[in-house]
Amino acid sequence: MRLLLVEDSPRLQHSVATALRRSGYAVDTAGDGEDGLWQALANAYDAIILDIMLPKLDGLAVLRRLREAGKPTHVLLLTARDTVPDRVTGLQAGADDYLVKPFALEELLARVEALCRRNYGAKRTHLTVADLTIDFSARTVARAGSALVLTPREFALLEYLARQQGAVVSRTDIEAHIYDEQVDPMSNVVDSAICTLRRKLGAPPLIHTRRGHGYVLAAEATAGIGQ
Amino acid sequence: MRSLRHQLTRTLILAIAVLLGAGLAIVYFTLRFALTEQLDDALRAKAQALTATLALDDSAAAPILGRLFPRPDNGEPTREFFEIRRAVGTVAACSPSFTGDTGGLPALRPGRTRCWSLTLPTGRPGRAVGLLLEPPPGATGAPRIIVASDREELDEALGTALAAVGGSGILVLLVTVAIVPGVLRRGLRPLGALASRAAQIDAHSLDTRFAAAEAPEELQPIAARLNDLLARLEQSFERERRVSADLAHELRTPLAELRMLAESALKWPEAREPGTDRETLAIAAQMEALVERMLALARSEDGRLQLVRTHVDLPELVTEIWSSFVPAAAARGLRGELALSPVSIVTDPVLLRSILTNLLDNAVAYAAPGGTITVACDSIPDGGVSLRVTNATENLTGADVSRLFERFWRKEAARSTTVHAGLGLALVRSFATALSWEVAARLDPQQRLTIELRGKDLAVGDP
Repeated sequence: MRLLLVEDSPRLQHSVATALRRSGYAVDTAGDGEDGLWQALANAYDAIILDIMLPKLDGLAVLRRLREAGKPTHVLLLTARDTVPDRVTGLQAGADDYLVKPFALEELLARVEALCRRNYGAKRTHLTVADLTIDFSARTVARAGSALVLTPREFALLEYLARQQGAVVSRTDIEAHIYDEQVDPMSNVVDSAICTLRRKLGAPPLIHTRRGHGYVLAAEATAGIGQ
Repeated sequence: MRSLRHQLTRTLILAIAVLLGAGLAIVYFTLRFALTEQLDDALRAKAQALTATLALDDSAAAPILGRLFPRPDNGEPTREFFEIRRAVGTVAACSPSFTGDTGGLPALRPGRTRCWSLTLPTGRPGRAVGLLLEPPPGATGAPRIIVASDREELDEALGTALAAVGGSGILVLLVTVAIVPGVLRRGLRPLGALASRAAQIDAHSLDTRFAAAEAPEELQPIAARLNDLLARLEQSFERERRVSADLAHELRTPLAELRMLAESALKWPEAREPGTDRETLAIAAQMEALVERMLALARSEDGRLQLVRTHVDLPELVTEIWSSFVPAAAARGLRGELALSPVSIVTDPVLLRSILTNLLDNAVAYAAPGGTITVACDSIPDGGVSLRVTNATENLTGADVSRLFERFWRKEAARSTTVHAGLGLALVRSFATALSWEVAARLDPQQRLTIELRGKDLAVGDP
């Protein structure tokens, strides 16, 4: 899942981005409202974490312009403003969630995960494909009852494929949602990650390649053909 | 609890009772005097009429006496008495059993009448008039006429008058007792309304205002003063609320940073970054600086700063402080220009240093990059000193200038800078006030901001 973090405090931006990356998210960052708006409009994020008091363009203005531009990306307002009118204003401006500083890291992660889940229209926290079971909340994977050890990035890739519910996912989409701006777009990082994930998931293979289209997570090798 | 209305009621009723009593007493005694005088006049007239009988013999005088003092024919006791005594002292005529000495005869003077009260031979109270005529030539004594009358009718009239006066007095007093509390209640209603409205005011309703224009004339100054007081209180509370909220807000971001660092370190202990402790220390220092500045501001505004005034060479102090900002100014492409006239002042050097440091810090942080920061000081004609810091600004407006000295105000509401909390210029103003200096900011059409300090602490002997 790819996130945009717009926060003007350099220290908080760094620590939150690091924590999110360690949790398996791809995170782009912006230090002011104008940069944040530009990135939000230019990229497809699964969720945006947005501070309100930002230089150049405040968070509420960023949010309004996003909505005016027709961007439905889920937005979590992360701010020091804690009054009820502040929360109401933020939610009325188009935010999907509101978290007041200082916040618990686990709460931030849970809220971000809920926003990402909502992005794919699924409220389920578990998904089963053949004998593969994925627990999105506990961030665990098991195949035929045996737990698999995945890195956060591998889990994010698997989750992204699983959330598509058997549909073909293009390499571009995977790049856009799983990898942030720190990854060289010319690298074969997606192919490499798919390869590693396939190996960890074991046989029979559940991730199938559709040449010229992308990848699909399904029990049957023919799934997704004809889309 | 003392009630103004009850106290007024008691006082008013008491005053009305005393005045009413005194008034009615005057009325009664005036009436009594008038009626007594009327009786005395009648007796005097009869006494004068009796003088004519002195020249007559008994047979000639008898009809006159009979007409003036008729005998009651229905058995009632005699009501009027007289005695006529000749110059030789013999009684010429008198009512039966009545002598002039009855009831005690006061001293009479020739040619004059005298009135007195006495007890009549019938045992009833009476009123008498005595007339001592001028003694005839050659005589040793003077003829004397005494006329007395029963005063029963007079006393009855006076009794009736007393009853009427007393009764009406009591009636008026009762009506007063019944009416005064109501009148006072009605009259004091605006005061009660004012008190009731004032009693409802608490910290959450300081926007309440009294309708001073509609209040009675006597209460208008009170209502106006209360409105002024409430307005000042409201501003003060609002300022305190805003400062508390701002302070809480200012602390939230560094607290969030601390919490993130700590929770990340606990969650991923193996991935602990080497700079974490340094970051933690920097955040703590930032919070400490914020709290220190807030405390300094609070102490200054409470007047709890201890001033120690000594001679200060202003150009030397400015030069020394500016030198510490040179690297930061150079980093932003700023050039310093010091135009410092030799001025020595007597002031608190610690506070002045803090003022100058904050002014220069502010100028270096917010001046338009690549510009010039001018610091000038000189003596002014009224015996004071003026110090000015001028720098070009990028996007400051006239409205911003009026807010420069507010606590936590920054042009950018964001907290992207961890160095400036928006307290520097607030401290400048507060410290300047503590030194009895004036501070003002102005923006010229070329977008150059000048912050000027003016004080009267010029050392004696300096120009």
